[in-house]
Amino acid sequence: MEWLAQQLAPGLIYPTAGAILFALGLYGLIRRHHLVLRILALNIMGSGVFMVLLGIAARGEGPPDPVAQALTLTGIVVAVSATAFALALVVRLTRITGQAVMLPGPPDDHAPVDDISREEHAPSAEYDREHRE
Amino acid sequence: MSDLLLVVFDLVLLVGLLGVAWRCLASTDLFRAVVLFITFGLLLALAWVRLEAPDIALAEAAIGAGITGALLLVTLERLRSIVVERRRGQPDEPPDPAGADALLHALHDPPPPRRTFVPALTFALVVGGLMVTALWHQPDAVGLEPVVDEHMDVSGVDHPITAVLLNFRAYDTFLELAIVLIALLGAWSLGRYDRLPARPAPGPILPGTLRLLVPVAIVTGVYILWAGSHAPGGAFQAGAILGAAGILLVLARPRDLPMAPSSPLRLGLAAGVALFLAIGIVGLLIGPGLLGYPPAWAYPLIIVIEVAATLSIALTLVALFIAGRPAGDDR
Amino acid sequence: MNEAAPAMLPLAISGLVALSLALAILATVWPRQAHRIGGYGAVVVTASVLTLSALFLAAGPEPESAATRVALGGWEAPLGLMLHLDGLSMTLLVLTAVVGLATSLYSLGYVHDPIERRQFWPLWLWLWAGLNMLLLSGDAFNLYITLEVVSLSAVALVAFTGTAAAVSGAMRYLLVNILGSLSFLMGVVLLFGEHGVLDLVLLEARTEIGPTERMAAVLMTAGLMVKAALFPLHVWLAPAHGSAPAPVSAVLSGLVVTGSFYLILRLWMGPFAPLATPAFGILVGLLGVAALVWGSAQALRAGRLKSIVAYSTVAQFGYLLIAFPLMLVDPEAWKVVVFFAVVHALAKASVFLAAGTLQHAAGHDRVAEMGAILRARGRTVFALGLAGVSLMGLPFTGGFIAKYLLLEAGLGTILAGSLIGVLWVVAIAGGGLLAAGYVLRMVAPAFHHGPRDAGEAVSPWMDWVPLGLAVVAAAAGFAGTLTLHTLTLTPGAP
Repeated sequence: MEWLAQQLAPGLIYPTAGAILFALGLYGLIRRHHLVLRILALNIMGSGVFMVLLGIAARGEGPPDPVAQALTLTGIVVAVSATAFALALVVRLTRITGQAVMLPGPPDDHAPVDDISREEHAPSAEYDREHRE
Repeated sequence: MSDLLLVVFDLVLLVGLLGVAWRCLASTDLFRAVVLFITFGLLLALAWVRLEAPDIALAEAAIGAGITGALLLVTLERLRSIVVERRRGQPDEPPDPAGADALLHALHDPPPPRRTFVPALTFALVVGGLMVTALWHQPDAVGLEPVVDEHMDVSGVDHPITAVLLNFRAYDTFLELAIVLIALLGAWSLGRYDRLPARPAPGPILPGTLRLLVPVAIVTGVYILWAGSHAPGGAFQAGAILGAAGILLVLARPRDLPMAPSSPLRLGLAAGVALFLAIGIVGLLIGPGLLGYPPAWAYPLIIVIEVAATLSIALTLVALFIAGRPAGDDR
Repeated sequence: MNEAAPAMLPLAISGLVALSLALAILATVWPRQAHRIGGYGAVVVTASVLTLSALFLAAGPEPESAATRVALGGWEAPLGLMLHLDGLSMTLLVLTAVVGLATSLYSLGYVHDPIERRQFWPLWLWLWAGLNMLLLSGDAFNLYITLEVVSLSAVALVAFTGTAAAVSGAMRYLLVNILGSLSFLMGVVLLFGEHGVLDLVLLEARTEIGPTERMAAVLMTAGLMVKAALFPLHVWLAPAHGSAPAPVSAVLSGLVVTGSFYLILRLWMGPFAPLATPAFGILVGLLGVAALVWGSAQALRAGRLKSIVAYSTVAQFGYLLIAFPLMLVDPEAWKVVVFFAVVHALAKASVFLAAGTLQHAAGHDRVAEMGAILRARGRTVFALGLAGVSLMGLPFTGGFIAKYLLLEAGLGTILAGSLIGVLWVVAIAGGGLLAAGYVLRMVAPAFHHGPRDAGEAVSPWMDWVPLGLAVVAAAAGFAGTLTLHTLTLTPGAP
């Protein structure tokens, strides 16, 4: 029993589970195509990294490592920022193309070129004009 | 015996976490995936408590599950309304030959093709396996806890995590605030905001609940901010709670968002980084270095930075929820 | 001066970081004046970087003690964060300043819509500040944060034109960047679990070969390779770089990609140095040859000016991979590789800026229909050609010297008895021919007979800046000795 509890100490099994979460997120990222699912997969990978970090911080006898915990807090805030921006991009892309998946490959050679340096440009400005309340 | 109970608790929790994550990534229904993801966030908060990280648990529940969940749900609602709008725009469009509704396409993801299964699984297993091997070979406890402990008396605060975040590694925290701001600048550069697609529930329930909830959220936020100097809590958790209150207010009146004029709004969004950097530059000129404080001044300066950071984070999170830039910003 | 320089350096380093951040914040708060803040600010930042480099060289340190480390907030590592300046980061800081200044001036003409100006400048100043901080960071976790600053602002700039292609390209770029960052962060976490420190110098001192180091090296290098679009993780590059506004493409291909490469180099000369084995080097080199061939083939086929340039970035970065096996035989070769990366960044940025001017004039960038514009816009075509010649590596340009030195290193490999060295030499020489092919595709129509049409009027900034930068790229050869000298001031490197 003693031995088992030692083998399953939080400092060991949490990092292990974190590594599995990371791999699981990677698997989901490769397999799924809907952009929201891909963003969820990246978030799960991120949570895996944080679990490894906090698991490492909880190793040993003493109090947990505050530096590791502070880094995790920073990481969580970075993750939510990136997620928020990514979701804004998904909405924008869906509005233009009607689908929440990426266009395959680079723009083809005859797609209209949009050049923000020209006067007549600016689909975004046009779009804004339409949506002015 | 209690050790054994804890081991059982750990195993159940971790298996549950992995199971929820798996179900989330295997969903074909997006709404279901998002709900499972929010559950995943709450379970994670539990895991962080178990790892003696109450600060992170608080942040995970408020930011990871709460704010991210709100962002995901409103995104799904936006995707739905975009597809509905597009269909209404083209009534003559022939029905999808595959019989799949366009609406389904926006909020559903068909099960992935079988041919990617084996390569993806192999790749994930190899990466995960190598990481686990590396982790199992690592020594016990080599962290920075003793070093931090040694310097607590000159940090200006009593809570080690706050000391690391706002003093020892203040540069990271400053850049973290900057990243929240950059994400918003990015979202704003994509266009003006659309009306929120949310359909306000008629009746007195939402406004009544809000009248109760918002003051509670404000008090909680301020308490958590204040507690951060000596106990779990701090600017990010407080900012997230205040931001959540703001999001509720926005949801209650989705048709008439408050139109803050551009300059005060941008000043509020950037107050955290601006004040942080200003104090940091003073530290460079008369103190110990860039983003440093004279020890005697550390406590008041940290509090000032935290207050500004909390306000900026709360404002930025609400703005990220609304997503587009306000029309006033272009004038 | 010489006595004062070492004392002034730490203040100057912190000052540079504070200045670039202050400009970004100021532009964020005051978007109406953002273009002025950006325009004047670019000059001030460039001047401070040049001052910093003068101080750095005037301090005249021995290579072993050349790194200046600044404890932020007065907290030394391992407790606090250290900024780290040495010859390598100094060289790339100067490169960033030159390309950044050119891009800023060009953008004054390019982004003229008052509403778009307000969105563009704060993001660009954050990106520039992020690059400066990335190059000065000496802490593994802080590197992750600065990488995120760079990638989020870069992605927002890619999406800037708002077309389907641009938004889709930005989306792909963002997902790839987050994946790269997470992979990098996982590596950092593994190293922290093994050694309990985050400072790169302390990590280097504690590194020994073990499962943690191997896995961390794989995760961090793969994450950065994704970000640097190194073959075979390059697929996102052409959609993102090809559909971004021209000044953004210039910065992405010139600086952002180079920043990731810098980090790979820094890690492999530091903490991961013991892991580099000849077999690994040859594998990386083969990837480089594949990148060179694939990227060049795509550039020879692409129908759009900016796509050609974007694919050529994939090809040119093949050289950097080919350099790895060379460095294993001749450790000194790394300086040549950095010099090559610098020249490439200058030339590539000016090609993108010139392409932007032509696209603006023509209203499209389909190569087949650009003859009339090319014939009428001699100045821009000259800039395109001059920078292109530097990319090909013709004599008397910076590119020639860089490639000559690379070839010399390759021949050294053969002399050292390595048969595969022949492949490297053939690839380096052949890559120049392929580059000649796609550069000619861009400029050749200018020399055919046919109608001339200057197209839309362009602002003087857009007319002259590409030419100025192309001249700098071509003349970079004269700065070769100085660059190589600066690079020797990198402690720990061979």
